[in-house]
Amino acid sequence: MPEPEPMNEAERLATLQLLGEASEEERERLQALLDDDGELAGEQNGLEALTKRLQTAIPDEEFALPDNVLAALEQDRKEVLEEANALADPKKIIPFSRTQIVSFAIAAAVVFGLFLQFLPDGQNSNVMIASHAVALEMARNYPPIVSKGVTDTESLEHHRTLISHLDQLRESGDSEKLLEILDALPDSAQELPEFKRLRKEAIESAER
Amino acid sequence: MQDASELPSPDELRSRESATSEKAWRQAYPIFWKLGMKVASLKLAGEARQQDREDCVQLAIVQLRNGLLGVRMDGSDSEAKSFDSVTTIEHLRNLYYRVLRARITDVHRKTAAIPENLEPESEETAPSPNEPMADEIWPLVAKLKPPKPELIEAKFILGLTTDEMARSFAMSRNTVLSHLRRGLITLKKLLEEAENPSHA
Repeated sequence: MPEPEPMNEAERLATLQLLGEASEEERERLQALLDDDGELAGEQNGLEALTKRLQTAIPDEEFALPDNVLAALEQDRKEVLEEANALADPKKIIPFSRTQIVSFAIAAAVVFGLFLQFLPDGQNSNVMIASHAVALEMARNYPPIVSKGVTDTESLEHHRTLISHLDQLRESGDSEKLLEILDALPDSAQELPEFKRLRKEAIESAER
Repeated sequence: MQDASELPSPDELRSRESATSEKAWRQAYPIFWKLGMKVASLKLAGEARQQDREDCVQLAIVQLRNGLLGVRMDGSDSEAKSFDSVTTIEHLRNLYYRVLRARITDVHRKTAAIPENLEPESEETAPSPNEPMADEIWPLVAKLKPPKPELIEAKFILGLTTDEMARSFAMSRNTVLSHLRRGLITLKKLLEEAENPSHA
């Protein structure tokens, strides 16, 4: 951008006067200069007329802001402000903080635990179905009784597991399934005291 | 109608606090609108360009606001820094004015008009005889060499003082005064030539 030609003091004062920014002292000094310099005075008169014209040539309308434009600007401002706040605080972009996520997980675990706690026994279906199926299969494949009860380690483990499944079914109150499994046992195994006791309890439960 | 000097501070307009932001911008919108429409009515004269004027002013306000809030900046880094560096109301007014001028230039480019020749040329864009139109002096202002048009408009439209212009345009007060004086003298000659072609 080229520098303008430098001004002398008279031109500087005259310009300040044109722009309405001359102090009282500057106006007096300018007047003295204009009195001595007819050419400068003539130029000043012409420029004063020009500045007046510039001022009055501006359309004198009120230019009121239309309501619909204001509403649009205001709605947009709210959205922009939200965006600005999100950009300024990245944590707000993540819906939940780490602490909140941990809290939610704990709360969910507690609720699920309570759910299981209060779930009616007979409706804990997945566990019961699996237990029933396993127990039925184990009853059908019950190892042969050699003497009093089972003796070898493998057979003993089979016996204990089956008893465990049958206990679960007994606790669930499903006497029908319990009896079905006991019926699937070989005759020799049905004489064992544990199975006799379970059968007795299942029949009593069914009668109730 | 509020005056430009009643604009909220740039810090208030930058506020991320909802209530402060709403108050500041509700105060600022009508002032920016009035200033913008004044400028636009000089550079986009004519009834047919009413929509262009309103669009330009609204877009300039939106860009200024988004720039101050630091979002949706489509411009260069230097533009973003311009918004960051605004600390005073006169600087804010000047920045708004620059944004508005750029949007008005966009309209001229779109309509394939030559920016320097701002007089309505076609029947479509000419103001109707009954419409109050800007004096022919303002299109002549646009023909002056930069930064004289910007300084004259800043003085007579935006109402900036020479001190405020010196700060906003990053030049000394004497340079501002000199540009204004030379600009006014040239403008006077252009006006005389336009009004008395035979004397040119």
